[in-house]
Amino acid sequence: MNNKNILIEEINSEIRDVLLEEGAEGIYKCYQCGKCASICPWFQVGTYDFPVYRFSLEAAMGLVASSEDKDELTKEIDKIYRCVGCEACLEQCPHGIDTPRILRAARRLLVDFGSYPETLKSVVQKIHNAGNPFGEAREKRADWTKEIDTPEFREGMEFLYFPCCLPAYDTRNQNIALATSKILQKSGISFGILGNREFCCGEAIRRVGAEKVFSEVCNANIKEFSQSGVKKVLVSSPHCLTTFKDEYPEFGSDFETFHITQLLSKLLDEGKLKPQKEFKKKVVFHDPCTLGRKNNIYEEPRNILKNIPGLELLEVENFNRNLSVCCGAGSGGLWMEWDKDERIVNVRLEQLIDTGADIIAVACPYCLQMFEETLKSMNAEVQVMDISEILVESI
Amino acid sequence: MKKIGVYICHCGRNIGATVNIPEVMEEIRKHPEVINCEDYKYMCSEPGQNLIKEKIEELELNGIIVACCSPSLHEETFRRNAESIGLNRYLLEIANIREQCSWVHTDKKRATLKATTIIKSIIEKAKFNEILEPVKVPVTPRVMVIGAGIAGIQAALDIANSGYEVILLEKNSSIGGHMAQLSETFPTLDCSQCILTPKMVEVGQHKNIQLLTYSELSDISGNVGNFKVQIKKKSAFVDWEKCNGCSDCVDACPVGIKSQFNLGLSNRTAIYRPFPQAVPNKFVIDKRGISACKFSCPAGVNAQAYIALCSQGKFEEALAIEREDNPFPSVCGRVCTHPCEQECERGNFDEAISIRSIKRFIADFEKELPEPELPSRKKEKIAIIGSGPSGLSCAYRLANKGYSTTVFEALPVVGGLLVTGIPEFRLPRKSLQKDIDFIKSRGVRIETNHKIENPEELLKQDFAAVYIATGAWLERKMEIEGEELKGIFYGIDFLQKVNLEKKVEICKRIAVIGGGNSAVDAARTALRLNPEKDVTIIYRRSRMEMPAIEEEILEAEEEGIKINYLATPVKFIGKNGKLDKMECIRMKLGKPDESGRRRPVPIEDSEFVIPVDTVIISIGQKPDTSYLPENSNIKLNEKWESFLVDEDTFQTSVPGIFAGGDAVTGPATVIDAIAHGKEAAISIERYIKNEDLKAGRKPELKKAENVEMPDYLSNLKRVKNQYVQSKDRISNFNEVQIGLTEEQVKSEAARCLACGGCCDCRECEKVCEPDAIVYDMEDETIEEEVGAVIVATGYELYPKEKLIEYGSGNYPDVINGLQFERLLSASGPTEGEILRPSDKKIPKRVAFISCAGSRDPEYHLPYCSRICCMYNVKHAFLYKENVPDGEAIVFNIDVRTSGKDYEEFFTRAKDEENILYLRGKPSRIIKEGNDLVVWSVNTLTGKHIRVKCDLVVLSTAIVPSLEATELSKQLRIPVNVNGMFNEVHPKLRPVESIVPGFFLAGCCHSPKDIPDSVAQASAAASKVLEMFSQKELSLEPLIASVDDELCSACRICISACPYEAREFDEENDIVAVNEVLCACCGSCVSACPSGASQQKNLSDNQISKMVEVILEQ
Repeated sequence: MNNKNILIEEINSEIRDVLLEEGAEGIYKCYQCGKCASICPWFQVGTYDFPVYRFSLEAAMGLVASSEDKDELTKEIDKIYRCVGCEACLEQCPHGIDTPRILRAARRLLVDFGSYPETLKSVVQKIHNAGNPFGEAREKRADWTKEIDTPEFREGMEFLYFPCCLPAYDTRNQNIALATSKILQKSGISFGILGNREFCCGEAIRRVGAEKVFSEVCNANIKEFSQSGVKKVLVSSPHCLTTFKDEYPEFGSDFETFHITQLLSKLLDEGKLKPQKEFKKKVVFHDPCTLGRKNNIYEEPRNILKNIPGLELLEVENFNRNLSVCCGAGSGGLWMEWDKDERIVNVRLEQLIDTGADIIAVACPYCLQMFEETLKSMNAEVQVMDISEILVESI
Repeated sequence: MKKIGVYICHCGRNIGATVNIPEVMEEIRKHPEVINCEDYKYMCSEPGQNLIKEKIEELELNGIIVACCSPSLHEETFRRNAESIGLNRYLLEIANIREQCSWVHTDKKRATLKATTIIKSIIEKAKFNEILEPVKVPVTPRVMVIGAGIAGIQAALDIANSGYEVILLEKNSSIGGHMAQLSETFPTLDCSQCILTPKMVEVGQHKNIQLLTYSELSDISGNVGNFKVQIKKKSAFVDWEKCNGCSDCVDACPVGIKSQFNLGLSNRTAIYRPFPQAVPNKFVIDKRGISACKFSCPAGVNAQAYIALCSQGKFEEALAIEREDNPFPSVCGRVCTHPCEQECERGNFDEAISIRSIKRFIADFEKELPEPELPSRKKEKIAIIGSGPSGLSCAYRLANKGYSTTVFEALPVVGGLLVTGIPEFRLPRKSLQKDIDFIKSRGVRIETNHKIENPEELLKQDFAAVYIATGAWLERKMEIEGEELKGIFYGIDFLQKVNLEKKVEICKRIAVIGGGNSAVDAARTALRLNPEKDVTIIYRRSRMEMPAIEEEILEAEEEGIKINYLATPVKFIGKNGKLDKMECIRMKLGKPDESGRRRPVPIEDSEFVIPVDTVIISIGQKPDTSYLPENSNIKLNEKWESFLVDEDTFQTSVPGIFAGGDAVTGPATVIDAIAHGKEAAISIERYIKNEDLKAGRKPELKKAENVEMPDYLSNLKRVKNQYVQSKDRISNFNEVQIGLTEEQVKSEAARCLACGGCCDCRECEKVCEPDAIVYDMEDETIEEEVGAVIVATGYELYPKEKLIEYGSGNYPDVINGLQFERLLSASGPTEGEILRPSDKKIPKRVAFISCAGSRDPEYHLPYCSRICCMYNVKHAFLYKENVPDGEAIVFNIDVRTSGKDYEEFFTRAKDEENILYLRGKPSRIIKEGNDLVVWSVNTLTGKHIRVKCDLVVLSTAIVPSLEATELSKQLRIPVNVNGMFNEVHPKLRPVESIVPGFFLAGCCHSPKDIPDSVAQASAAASKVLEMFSQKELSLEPLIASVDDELCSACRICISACPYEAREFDEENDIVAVNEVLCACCGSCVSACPSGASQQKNLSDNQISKMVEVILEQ
C-alpha cells in the first residue's frame, strides 16, 4: 500500500472481486478486534509487526497485493508470504475468518503475475517437473526402501503408505519412513508403497498460491491411486493428511486418509503393538499445527508416547494442543529465509527447550526438518525425533 | 350457497409491484361463488375498510376474503370492521399474498398465478366457514411472578399496589437477585443496595404479596385467565415461623462452603442467609447429600462432620460424632484401610484429606474418658462370642441402648486380631486399650479365657440373642512339597506368637509369601526380630494388584524389605529336616479373575531357587467353625467354610443367633468388622422387640455430587505424615507413624470441600434459642390459582471455564464483573477494599476485558450483552477512586453508551480518572509468576501489547438463568436460540410472551440494565392489569370438537393433546373437549383415526378442498 490518502473511489473493486473469487471468505464480517494479531506467532517473534486483522479490511478495499510501486509491492509480497498458515488466528477469530485463506487468494493473484519469492518459484518448478520440491529424480523416490525391504502396493492391500517427499528423499527424514515401515511390518498391517509412481501431495504449493501446478499433481495422484486400487492412505505428514482428506475430494478423489499416529494409537489400545523396551527420557511433544488445530488430532500422539515404558511426557505450559506455536515451516515457510531475529522457529524451540526435555517429539516431517536445521546453530543438547522413531526404539 | 366477496389490497407497491392484480381479479371473478371482487391501494385504510363494509351491506355477503398481508398484522382490523356492521367475525378470512407471495418472489407472472391460487384456496375454506362465537372465560385476578430480582420485585409491587394479589416466587431464600450483589449503579453511582432494599422491605410487608422464597414451580396447567400452579417449597430445615434471624447458628456451624452470593470469593456456613439485608430474614440449611467419605465408610462414620468440627478445634465434639458409629477411633486412626480417603472428592482435584490422621489425633487428644451417660438398663441379656472389633462394636452399640452385654473371649487377652495379628509398631497396645476401656466404660462385660463351644446353648440359658464374631484364624496352606519342614511358619500364627509370647526363633534368610497386610506385617515383624535384616516378600502378582495398604508397602520398602513380584514358591527343599532352599516360578498376568485383578499364570521353565531358612506363609485365613457341635443347626457356607447369614440382617439360620465380621466374610478389614457389629446390633434390638429385621435396612442414600473446589481452598496442600526414621525403627516395636499436631489437624481439616453441605453435626441445634432447626423437614408442594404469569428469571454470567483464551477459570486473579462488584461492595468479602483473590494484595494495574464471550458467534455467543460497556466504565472509575495510584486499562472493540446520561458518564470517567481505553481484544492471558500478562494489539496503532496486570476483570457475557430452558418447557412458552424468552412482536408487543397469559420482564427476555428491566417490569404489570380489568376473556373459538357419532373412544387424542384439554367421558363412552384448555393446535385432529375430531372452521373437508385447488394449478 502506498502512502497517499485512499479515497473511497479508489477502492479497487477489481482486485477485491478476484480475491473473493479465489476464496477470500468472510472479509466483511471482520470487526477489527485484533485477537488474530496477538495470537499470531509473529506476535511472539516480537521484532516484526504483523497486523493480521488488517488483511480482511484491506481485502474488502481491494488493497491486498495491489501496489503499483515496485518497492512497495516487494514489501507487500514479503508481508503476504510471512503467513505460515498455522491457523492460530482462525482458532480464535470470533467470526471464524480464515485469514490464511484470504492470503492464499492474494498469493494466487501474485503467482498468476509471477510476482512471488524466487525460492518458492523454484520449489513450484521442481514439483512441476520432478514431482518433488527438491528436484530429485522421480526414480529415486523409493530409494529409502533399500535399507528396509518394504512391499510395493498391490490391489487388495489395506493401506497405501505415502511417506511425503521429505522422508522419501531427505537423509535425516528418511528415518521416519524406515521407522514407520518397521513398525507397520511388525504389527502385521497390510500395506505397500507406490514409490516412483506417486507425486508430491502439493499441499505447500497450494498454500503458496500455485493452484495450477497443484491441480496437476493432485490429478496425477488421484489417477494413480485410483488405477492402483487405493482405498485407504496412511501418511506421515499432517500436510499430506489434510490435503488428501479435505482438498483432494474437490478434484474427485475417492479414498480415506489417516495419519500414522491415528493408526498407531489404535494398535496400542487394541494391544496389537506392545512397546517393551524402556525409553528413559523426558520427552516434550510439539503439536504440529496441521495435525492439531487443523485436524483435531491431539491425544493420539500423546497416547503413543504414554504407552512407551520409562518415557516421561512433558507439556509446554500455556502453549500446547490448540495453543501450540508453529515451527514456521507451513505455507511455504520451510523455504523462506528471514533475518535471524525474525524467525518463528526460534520462539518455538525456546519454549520446547525450556521444558527441560531431552527429546522434542514431533509428528510432522516439516517440524522435524525445521527444528533439526535450526538446532544445528543453537548449541542445545536437546534432540528432535519423530514419534515413529521413538516408538520403533521401544518395540 | 355462500355469497363471497374478495377484496385485494395493493399494499402500495408491496403487493402491486409484483402481483398483477387486474389479472388476479379477472380470474377470481370467474369463480361461481364470488359475487364481488374489488381492489384498493391500501385496504387497511379507512376508505378501504368502508368499501368492504358497503359491499357486505349492499350485497348481503356472508363470506369475506381480504387478500393482503399476514393475518398476524391485520386480521383483527378487518374482522372488527366486519363485526361493526353485524357480520360474524369468523366469516372473514385473510389470504396472505404479501409475506407468502409478493415479498418472496420476483417473477411477476408466477407470483400472479400464486396469488390467484392462494385466494382460490381460501375461497374453499370460506365456503364452509360457520358462524362461531368466542369462548368466554372468567379471569382469576391474581398473578404469579417467577423470579424476585429487581424486575420481579417491580412488577409484583406495581400489581399489588393496584389492589390485586401477587404470588412472588423465588428459588433463593431471599429476594433481591443480582442487583443485591452490586456495589454502585451506573451512570449515577448510587448505591445499589440503598435503592433496592426499600423495595425489598416493601415486598416483604405488602399485604397483597404472598412471598414464596426458596420455592420453585413444579407444574402448571390451565389457560390464560385460569392457571393452576403447583409450587414446591424446598425444605429449609429451619422453621421460618420460629427463626428470628439472630444468626447464632452461623457461629456454631463448623462447615465452610463457597458463598454463591460472593461468587466464590469467600465462604459461608452450611446454615446461612445470603446477605444480612435478606428478605425474608430467615436461615436455611444447605444439604447436598451424603459426603463421599461417609458414603464410602462401611460403618457409615460421619467423617465430614468430625473433620468440620476439627477445623474449628472442636475435638471433643468431633470424637463424640466418631463414636456414634465407631467405638474404635484410636484403632481406626492407625490401621483403618480408609476407604473414605480413596473416595474423598478432594482427591479428584489434588490429594484426599488425610482423614485417618485426623481421626487418630482426636482419639489421642482425649486425655480422660468422658463420663458415660448410661441409659436405663433393659432386662434382656445378649451374648457376644469373640472380643475382636466386630464383637465389641456390637456389644458397644447394644450397651448404649441399655442392654446387658457379655463378651466371651477364648484367649486371655481382649481385642481379637487387633491384639494378636497387628504388630505393636502399627498399633501400640495402650492405644488399643484406650478404645477397649471406653467400650467397657459403657457397661460391656468381657469374660476372657472363656471359650464357647455351642452358641445355641447360650440361647437356652438366659441370653435373648447371640452374636458370633469369632473371626478367621485358620491358616491357608500352600499345599506344596516340603511345607512340613522346620522353619516354615504361617502369618497370623507367627504374628500371634510374637505379639503374645514376644519370642520366636527365626533364622537369617527370611521369605514371606503373600501380598496382603498380614504378609507385610509379618515381614516387618520378622525384620525387627532378625539382626541380619534380610527379608524378602514373594508375591505372585504385580505391585498394581497388591492388596496391602500402599503406605504400609512404602514403609516396608523404606525399612529395607525387598519385594519379589510375579513369583510363587513351587516347593520347599530341606536339609536334615530343616528348610534350606525354596524353588519358585515366575508368573505373568493373564485375564482378570472374579476379583477383577489379573490372574497370575506360571511361565513355563522359569523356575529359580532362593536360599532361605525361614519362610512365613501368609496367603490368607479362613474362619474356624470346627468348634460347633456336630448337631448344630447353624448353617455354614460350604465353599468358604464360614457362617451363612442374611446379608442385610446378619441373622444365621437359627433365629436369635447372628454372626458377622471375618467369621462370615473371611479375612477382611477392621472397619468392615465394626460395620457388621453395628448392623447386627440393630438386628438384635429389633429381634428382641419383635420387629421386622429387614424393613428399611438399606436406605437409598443420596450421595453429594458435582462437588466443586473453591479458589480459596486450592492452594492448601495435604499434610505430610511424619514417621520415625527407618534406622531408628527397624530394631524395636515402637510406633512408626508420628501423629499430627493440633495446628496441622486444623489446617488439614480446613482443606475439606464439605461435599455434603450441612455435615449433620447438629451444633446449630444446640445454640438455636427459638428451637427452629428441623433436620428432617421435607419439601412441601402447594397449589395456587392465578390468572396470569410474569416470567422474570433473570440472567447468569457466561462461565469463565468456557473462556479458554482467558485461563479457563484457572487463574484466581481473573475474575468476572459480578465478582468485582463484590470486591467493591462494602458488604463484600473484603469490605469494599479492592484486594485481589490470590494474595489479598491491592492490585496496582487492572485490565478490564470487554466482550468476554459476547459478540463471538464462532466460539461463544453471537449477541451483545449490552450492559458490559457501561459497567466497565463504572468499574474502572470506582477502582481508580479506591486505588488512586493504580492504573486501569479497558480493552475494548468499541464502547456502546446508548442510554440516558451514559456517554456523559463515560467521558467524565475517562477524563477525571485517567482511564486508558485500548482498542483491541486480547487473545491470551498468560500467568507468569504472580503476574497476569495480557496479550493484545492496539489495533489503532498496529502495535503489540503485552501488559503485566495484577488483576483482570472479564466482562463475561450475560446468559439466561440456568432454569430458563426447563421453565420454558414447563410453561410451554418459547425461547430463542440463545435461550431468551420470545416476545410476540419485537417492536409492538415487547412484554407479552407468544402464549397468552404469560408476560416477560427483565433479562430473561434479553440483556438489559436496571432502568430497562424496571421499565419492562412495569410494562408487564400494566399488561396484566389490563387483563384483570376485564370481567371475562374472549378466547378464540377455533377449537377442536368431537363428533359423538364417529368417536370410537380409542382415546388416542387424549395422549396427543399437549394441553390436557381432553378427558374421557365414562358415562357416554366418548372423549370430551375442554373448550377453555384447548389451544387450537390441531394435534388431536391429525391423531384421530376415525375423523371424529374436527377443528372448527378448519375441518378435514375444508383442508382437503383447499389442497385440491392448489394441486389443480
